[in-house]
Amino acid sequence: MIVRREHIAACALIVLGIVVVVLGDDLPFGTPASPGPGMLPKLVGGVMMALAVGLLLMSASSPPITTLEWDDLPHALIVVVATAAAAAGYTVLGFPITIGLLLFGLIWGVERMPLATSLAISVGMTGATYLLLKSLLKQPMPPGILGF
Amino acid sequence: MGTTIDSLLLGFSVAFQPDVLLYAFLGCLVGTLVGVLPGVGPLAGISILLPVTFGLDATKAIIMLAGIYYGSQYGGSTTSILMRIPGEASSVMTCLDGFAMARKGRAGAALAIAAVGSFVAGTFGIVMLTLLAPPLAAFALRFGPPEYTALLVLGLVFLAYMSSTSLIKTLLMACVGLLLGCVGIDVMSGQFRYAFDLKELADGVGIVPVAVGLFGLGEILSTPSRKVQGEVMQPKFSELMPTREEWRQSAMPIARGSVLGFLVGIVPGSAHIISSFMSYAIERRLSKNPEEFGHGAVAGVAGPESANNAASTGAFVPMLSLGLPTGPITAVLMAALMIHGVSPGPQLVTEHPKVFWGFIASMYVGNLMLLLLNLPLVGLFVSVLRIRYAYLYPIIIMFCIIGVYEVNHSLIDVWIMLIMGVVGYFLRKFDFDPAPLVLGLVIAPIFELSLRQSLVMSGGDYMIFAQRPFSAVLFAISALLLAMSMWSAFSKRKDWRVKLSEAEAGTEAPSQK
Repeated sequence: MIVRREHIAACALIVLGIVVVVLGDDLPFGTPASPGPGMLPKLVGGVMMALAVGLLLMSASSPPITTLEWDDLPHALIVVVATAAAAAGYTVLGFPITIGLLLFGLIWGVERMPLATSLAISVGMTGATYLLLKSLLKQPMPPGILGF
Repeated sequence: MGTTIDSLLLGFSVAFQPDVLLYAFLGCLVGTLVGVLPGVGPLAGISILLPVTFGLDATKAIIMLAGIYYGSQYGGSTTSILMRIPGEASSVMTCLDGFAMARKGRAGAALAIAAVGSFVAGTFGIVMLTLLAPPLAAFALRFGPPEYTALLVLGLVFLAYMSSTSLIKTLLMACVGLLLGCVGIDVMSGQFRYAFDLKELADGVGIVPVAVGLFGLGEILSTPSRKVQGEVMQPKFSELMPTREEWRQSAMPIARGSVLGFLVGIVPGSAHIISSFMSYAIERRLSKNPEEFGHGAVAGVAGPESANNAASTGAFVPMLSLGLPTGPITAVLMAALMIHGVSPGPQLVTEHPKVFWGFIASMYVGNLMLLLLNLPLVGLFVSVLRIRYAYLYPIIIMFCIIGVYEVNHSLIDVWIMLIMGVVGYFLRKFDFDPAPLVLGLVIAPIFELSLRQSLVMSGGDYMIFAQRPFSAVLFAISALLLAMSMWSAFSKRKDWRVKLSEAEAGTEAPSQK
């Protein structure tokens, strides 16, 4: 049997539907005259599983999973890791350090742009954005270890 | 009519205030840049810049954010014509003939026709919005929960019907959005749902982290920097004036595109994308020289560019008068109004006339600004296009993080954005359109409340939806649309949605049919 893209997608959505129904076990469905908080999620979860089964049955024309191109995956993984690191450090290290490191890491470390340009853009963009948000738009920014 | 003119004058008194003019200008400028830059759509642009508006009042905030939306429709044409890369999804069709005109040395004329067409269509759309929205809002005041339930179901079904991906996939995405919208405290019972003991999730999953994740970060994850390249043509200012023959060829396509775009814009779905495709197909069919399409036909630029601008204005009709988002962009704009304490819907005209009429009046001004902005500043926008993507995407990620964090000052939102970015990456891989997910998320609370209220009203009798005439008609239309979608799926007919999908993927130009 050829595993197709829509087989994988449909199975993932069926699993999601099951998870929704199981996690919502403690939510009362209620009655038609007095619907409970569990009614909509369980109904939608059920409809979603039914639609996913439909997708599974109609997936004969879907391309095989092996035809999916993953050449962008390494770059995507790097961006995800860098964004996750920035999210983790955002309130700990503060805006200037976290964002400065994120920009420099991606521009110089990942994209291999010239060092001086990468540094100038990272510092310049971080500083300009900080001033715009903090001073002009009065938006509170996470201070972090530098204290500002 | 007299009342409308008085109200419009009130709107202009708001729109002509210097600070309001400034924010309208900023919105239009940023919107044009968002449209020009490939990989940054209006949805990501609006979501990322939403926190910037927190210090503003509701009128200025919505004027600026809407300026980004319709400004992006103008800007998208620049990249399409000069680089053959759609800066914005609705500019896909402009790539075909716009770039071909540019290769013939008519880039300036193509840009001018696109800008003038956008202006005419945008202004036509606003006139229609001015005339239609208030009476529609007055009519919608009679709606009860059953009518709203039916209207929201119709919105979702219409979205599925109009989608260029399959009906099942669109409905599946809408279901995922509805489920995400169930997270948080249940408004009728006060019970926590799917919040995993995180107090940050008590108010539910935010629209901004989901939209920025799916459309901002998700797009970056799917676009390795080495794939974004291309030469940019730079037209001279003196070349911007089209010839008399080019004006003649563009007049009727602009008129047709304006009417078609506005009508499609009112309907839920990615109207600005669909309208440009439909306009291209119609112009090609009506043309005496259809073989010119794809090789620099003026109508191939004028029609679609007019249609996508009129559609973006048409989308405001159901949003402002019914409180019904027709797509993810109007959903985020609705969320922006709600953050500022203004609920879009039938009461908007009466309860917040300055917001409503100020917004409409600012669109007249904004369209004029865009016309004056786009042609003289084309050199600036070309310079922006020369910025390497390797510098650009890290800056976009920075704005994604700031934009999402500043909404609630919550790191959970940043993590949600990251997760949704990964989800968006895989959705693109598996050919799922993320837009219905955002729409499902936005309408989930209204849908659930009106559904449950309807059932409580009727004592649990589902026939309430058939007994109320307006609700019955809306459900009948939904059933008809579903039946039509299923028919075309089973008959394997290659209808306009398949062709749109192919055109978006760049596999082929839409053929005449």
